[in-house]
Amino acid sequence: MTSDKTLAEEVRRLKDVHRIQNLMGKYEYLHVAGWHKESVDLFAQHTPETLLEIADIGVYAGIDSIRRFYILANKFAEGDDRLGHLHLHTLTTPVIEVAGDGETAQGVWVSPGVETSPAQALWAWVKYGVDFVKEDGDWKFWHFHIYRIFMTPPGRSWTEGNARPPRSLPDEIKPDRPNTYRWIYSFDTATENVPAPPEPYETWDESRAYVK
Amino acid sequence: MSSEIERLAAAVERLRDVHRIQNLMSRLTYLNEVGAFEEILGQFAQKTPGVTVEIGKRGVFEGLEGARKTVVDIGNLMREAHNGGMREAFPGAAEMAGFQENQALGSPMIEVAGDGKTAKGLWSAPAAQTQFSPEEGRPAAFWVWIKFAVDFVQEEGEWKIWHYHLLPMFRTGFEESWVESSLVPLKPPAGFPEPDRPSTEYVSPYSIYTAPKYLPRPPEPYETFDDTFSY
Repeated sequence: MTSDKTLAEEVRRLKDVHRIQNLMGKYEYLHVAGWHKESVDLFAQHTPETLLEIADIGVYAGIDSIRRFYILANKFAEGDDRLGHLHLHTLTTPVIEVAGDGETAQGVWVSPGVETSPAQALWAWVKYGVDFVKEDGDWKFWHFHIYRIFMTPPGRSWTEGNARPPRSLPDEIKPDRPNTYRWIYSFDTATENVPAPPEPYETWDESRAYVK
Repeated sequence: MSSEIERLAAAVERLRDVHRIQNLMSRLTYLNEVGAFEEILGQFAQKTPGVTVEIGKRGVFEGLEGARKTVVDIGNLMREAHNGGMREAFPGAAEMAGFQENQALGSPMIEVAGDGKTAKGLWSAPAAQTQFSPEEGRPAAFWVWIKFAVDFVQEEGEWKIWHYHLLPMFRTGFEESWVESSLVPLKPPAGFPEPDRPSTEYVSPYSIYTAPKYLPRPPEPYETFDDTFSY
C-alpha cells in the first residue's frame, strides 16, 4: 500500500527531474542572450566546493571565481559588440538521476551547437556533466563540467583538426587549477565513456562528482 | 487507501516511467558511442515474444537473434572496418582512434499505456559520425539525421526495448549539402545481414523526388497495446 508520505516523495522527485531539466534549459537561454551575470545566479551560492570546469581552460573554484569568469570572459561582447554573436548549445539526450535523499542530483547531456562571432562561425558539440545541490529549496549547479566533442568551422571536417582555444588567458580570467579531464576529437584518440551517465543513487559521495 | 490516492499513485508511476524511458534511450546512445553493443542488447526484451529491429528500407529483423545481427554484429562490423583501415593507414594507431559517433536525441514524444505494461517513444536525432573512409584513406566526418520510433515493454519491473525502428533521414559529408548527397543512394555496409522480412512503414530518406510525410506517427495516449499501432 502506498502511503501519503511515499507518494509525496515520489511526486517531489519527479518534479525535481523536471526542475533540473528546466534549470539547464534556463542556463542555455541565458547563454544565448548573453546574460552572463544571471547565469552565475544559477550556481550554488553558499554550498562549499562549487566548481566550474570548462574544457581546454580549467577549473574555477568557488562562486566568486565562477562569477569572475562569466563576467570578465564575456566582457569583449557587451552592448553593440554583441551584434553578430550567437552561441547555441542545444540540450539533448538527457540522463538525470535525483538522489534518494533528494538533496543532490546528477545529469548528463549531449549538446550540438554553434559558437559565432562576426569574425568566426564554429560548429561546437559539447557534453555536459553536472552535479546539482538543493539550496534553500531550489536546485543549483554544484559541479558544472563542459566537455568538448569537437569545434570546427563550417566547411572543414573535424578530422582536420579543431579550432584552437585561446593560447593564454589574461590573468584576470585564468582558472584556479588545471582541467581534471581533457579530450577533444582527434583521429589518434579513442572516445571514452566520459561523462558516464549517472546511475540511481541514495546519497551523495564525492567519488561520483563530475568535477573532482 | 482512498481511490484518490490510488489514482495519484498510478499517475506517479506513469510519470516515473516516462523518465525511465528517456533515460533508457539516452543511455543507449552513450553506450553506442563507445561500442558497448552487448550492453545495448541487454536493454532489449529478453523474454517477451515479438522483438523486432527495423532499419530504414533494409528490412525487419526478428527476435533477439535479429537484434544481435543488427545492434551487435553490424556495430562491430563498422568498428572493425574502421580499425582495419586505420591500422593500415596509420600503423600504431590506438584501437578505435579516430572513430566517433554522437547521436543527440531531440524532440521526445513518449506515451506510457494506461495499463503501464507498454510504452511508445519517438525521437528526432541529429548526429555527428566519424569513421575511416577507404576513398580518403583517413577518417571522414559526416552529418547524420535519424528518427527513432520505439515500443517498450515491461519485464520484471524494468523497461525493455520491444520494437526498435531506425529511420535514416540523411547522411552527408560534413562539407556537403544533403540535397547533393541525396542524389547518390545510401549503401549498406559490406556484410549487412539479410532481413527476416521486408520493411513495414518505410519512410524515404531525404530526396529531391519525395515529399515529407507525417511518419513515423507520433504516439497518442492509449490504454493497452491492442489499442495502438506497432513501430
